[in-house]
Amino acid sequence: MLFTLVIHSGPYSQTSSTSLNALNFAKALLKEGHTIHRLFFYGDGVFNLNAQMVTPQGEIDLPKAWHTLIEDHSIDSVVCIAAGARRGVLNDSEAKRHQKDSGNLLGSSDLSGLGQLIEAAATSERVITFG
Amino acid sequence: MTIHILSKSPQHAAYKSCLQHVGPQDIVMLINDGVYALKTTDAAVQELLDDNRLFALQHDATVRGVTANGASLIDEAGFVALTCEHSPSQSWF
Amino acid sequence: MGREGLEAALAAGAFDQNMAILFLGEAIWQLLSTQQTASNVASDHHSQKNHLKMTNALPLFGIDQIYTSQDDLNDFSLQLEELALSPTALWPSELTALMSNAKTILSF
Repeated sequence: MLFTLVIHSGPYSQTSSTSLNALNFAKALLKEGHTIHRLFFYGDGVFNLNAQMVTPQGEIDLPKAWHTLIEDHSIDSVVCIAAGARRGVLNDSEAKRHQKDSGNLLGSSDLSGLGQLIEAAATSERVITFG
Repeated sequence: MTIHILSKSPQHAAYKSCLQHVGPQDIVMLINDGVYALKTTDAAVQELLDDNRLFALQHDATVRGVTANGASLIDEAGFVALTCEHSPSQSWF
Repeated sequence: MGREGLEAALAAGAFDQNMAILFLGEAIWQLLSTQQTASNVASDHHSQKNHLKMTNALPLFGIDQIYTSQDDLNDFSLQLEELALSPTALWPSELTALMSNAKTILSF
């Protein structure tokens, strides 16, 4: 089946971040032979691809784990450009455009608009939100 | 048949909203702090248990020290299978 | 976050999706018609743009199926007349049916 996952939780959001739940769900569905149409990082979920995050020793490095999953499976991964800008998750060209020192978007995810979420929701057979 | 995915504990507003909107054919999947629902004696939870419509992520229950209490504990592959069998999915958080 | 949920709804409207929007739980406060922002409150007292103005844009984007929960309204001691956009108030069983008839549900 064709899945899209919408991730609203950052690695350290709230008391119960579901970022790890989303990551494990993504891994499991691929292992079961399903396909990921798109990962859409929204709200605090954009922090999952913040390259500047330093994870304390002994804790799961979620940005690294997401990055590895995305690269290993060439997954279409989109970070909402507006949600990212608000929270300071920018790629190099956005950083330049907003006159910030440097970009910090991890890996090959695209910064793009909500149209990518709407398209994914219309195209996928299953859309699972992790809040 | 909706799959309701609950990730908040019973002390959170999302818990009440979730249980209030579970249809007679729907199932509930507890993840993250949602697994604390297994510690309650709420009638709505009991009804789901009686019908075998309550599932929880094994790992999230174990790390929180919560036992099945009659619910089906499943792994991530089981969770994926449930989302294939039930649609749409509604997340409560 | 209320604002980002609204932005997603407006985007869906702009892409001509057949959709309904449901204000549930504390999201209902977003519709309170007496809220004041931007032009009439000193700007150092609010951190975001006029939320109600954005909410009121929903019909302009073709989103006319706007729902809320009668049960939540009762819980919050709110009258339907206090809300902008004249949402349709549904009971939980009706909301359950609304959800199960959707192809996809996005929550914010």
